[in-house]
Amino acid sequence: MSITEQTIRHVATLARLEIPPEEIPVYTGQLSRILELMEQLRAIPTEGIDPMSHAVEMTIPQREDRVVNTDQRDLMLSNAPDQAEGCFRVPKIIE
Amino acid sequence: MDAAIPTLAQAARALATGELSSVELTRACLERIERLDPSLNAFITVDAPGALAAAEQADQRRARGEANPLTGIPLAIKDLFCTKGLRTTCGSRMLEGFLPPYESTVTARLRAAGAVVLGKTNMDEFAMGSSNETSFFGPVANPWDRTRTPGGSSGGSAAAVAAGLCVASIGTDTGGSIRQPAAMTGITGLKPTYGRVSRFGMVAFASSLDQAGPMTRDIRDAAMLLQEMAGHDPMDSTAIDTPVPDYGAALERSVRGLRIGVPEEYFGEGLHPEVRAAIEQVTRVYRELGADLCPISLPMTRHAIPTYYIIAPAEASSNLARYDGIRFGHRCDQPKDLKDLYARTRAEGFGAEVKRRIMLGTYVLSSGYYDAYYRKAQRVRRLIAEDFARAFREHDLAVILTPTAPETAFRLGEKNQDPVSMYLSDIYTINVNLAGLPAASLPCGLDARGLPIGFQLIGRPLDEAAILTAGHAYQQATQWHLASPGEQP
Repeated sequence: MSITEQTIRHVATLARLEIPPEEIPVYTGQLSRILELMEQLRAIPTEGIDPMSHAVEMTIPQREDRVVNTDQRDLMLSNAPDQAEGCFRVPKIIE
Repeated sequence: MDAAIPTLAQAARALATGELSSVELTRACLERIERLDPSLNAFITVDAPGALAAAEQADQRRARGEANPLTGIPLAIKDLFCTKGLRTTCGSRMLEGFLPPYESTVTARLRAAGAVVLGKTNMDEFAMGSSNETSFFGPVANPWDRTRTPGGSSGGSAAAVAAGLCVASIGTDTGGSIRQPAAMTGITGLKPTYGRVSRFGMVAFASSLDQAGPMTRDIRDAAMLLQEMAGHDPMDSTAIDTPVPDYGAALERSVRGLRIGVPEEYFGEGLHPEVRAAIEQVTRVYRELGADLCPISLPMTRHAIPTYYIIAPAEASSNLARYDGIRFGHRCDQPKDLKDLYARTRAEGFGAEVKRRIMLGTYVLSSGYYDAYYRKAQRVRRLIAEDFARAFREHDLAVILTPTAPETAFRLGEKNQDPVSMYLSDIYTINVNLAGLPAASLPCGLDARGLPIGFQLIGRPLDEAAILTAGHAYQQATQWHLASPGEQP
């Protein structure tokens, strides 16, 4: 399946990645080539096959519902690019 | 063998008898890093003060009679494991200054055993790559030939062991990232069964495929490290809660009568003749040791690359959504609003291959393509896993023997302009991750250029012991694991 430049722009928006206009054709070409490689899967009959999402069949273990993390606010904030008053700071969203 | 730095088993013996102290051994490693790493670039961060402090503590612990075999052993850790207060970059500009607020389970266990962390090794960015060239911190050179790649993504961990900058190292393997660099640098690398080792504190790439494992000079060392790394962890719901066997005991078993499958699909077009010849020689060694070699077929093999390159990028695009420039990691300058902050932070923080995989993963998960690509790949993944299960069952196999990589170390710059040709170099390793099986790569020869060749042993789920048995028997009978690149400038 070939992919269009419009699709690349749409996917970049979904992925929250800024792609400069001159790189759009590069991504279009590379992704089209990679997707060509995927085409061979279409020919494999997979009706009735259960999709495999994990390598090990297991049920999700449950633990006792109690707090194990004590207050680590300042430690967790220590890697933040911008913080104020014990919170992560982001640019204004609503003018 | 490089006499400058002992194997783990040798070091453990010398430390136990008092012939060597951890401080002496750690200093020897740090001295070699200082002298040899400038031309290799195997380390992103070297923690000399931390390593020497840990070595002193290890020596004191030993003096108190509280040592175990890993106490005082200097290790190099792939820069993908969170180490509390020690910079962890994952080879990315995004995490250039990241100081983890917590410790990964793997490194916590190794430290608790008294191991010394020398530093953090270079790797492909977010473990996405097969040549170490996608690292923000520059490529790693192969100690056997500085113009060639050591493989990837755990290329720094592989080069550090091969060049004798550490006693052993820890890597991770999502599609071959322990085994392929092990093959290309002439060392032993073991990827355990998915879930055998906790993933807690590993920076996530593809969560259903990622697994940590040892990278060592020989299989005995790998068994010693795995013994400490394996086991259940309440912090990782996918860490399997079954007892860890005595891996040392597995080393001593005989391969007489052991059934080894050899799949025809791994010897087809694309396999370099010199690699083929070396693997055929391995089968002869096993025959002479009394193992029972059995031709088998894994017909789904050729579908593994497209399946993997749908599933892994899909999981990666989801996992890497956390890099938003808000809680940690890189942030762009002067964002005009939140969307601009996200888009520019991610454009600046990620390199080309990571962006390509995020785009690919986002595409195959997007509305209208999910069933055609992602769902389809998950169904084929089950067929690939069933292929292995059937072969093990029908032929009553202990292990499957294959080449690790189709060729020996390629030149830096040879494939990094063509993503598809780079992806194809994973052809013999990614099946194993899709099926969740344990597998190791062991050295089995040198090509005409003097570059190492590796072979792969694949085991049944949770049967790392069979791989250790077969691997150790081979290394008892041969000398390839003793070959060393020597000290090239």
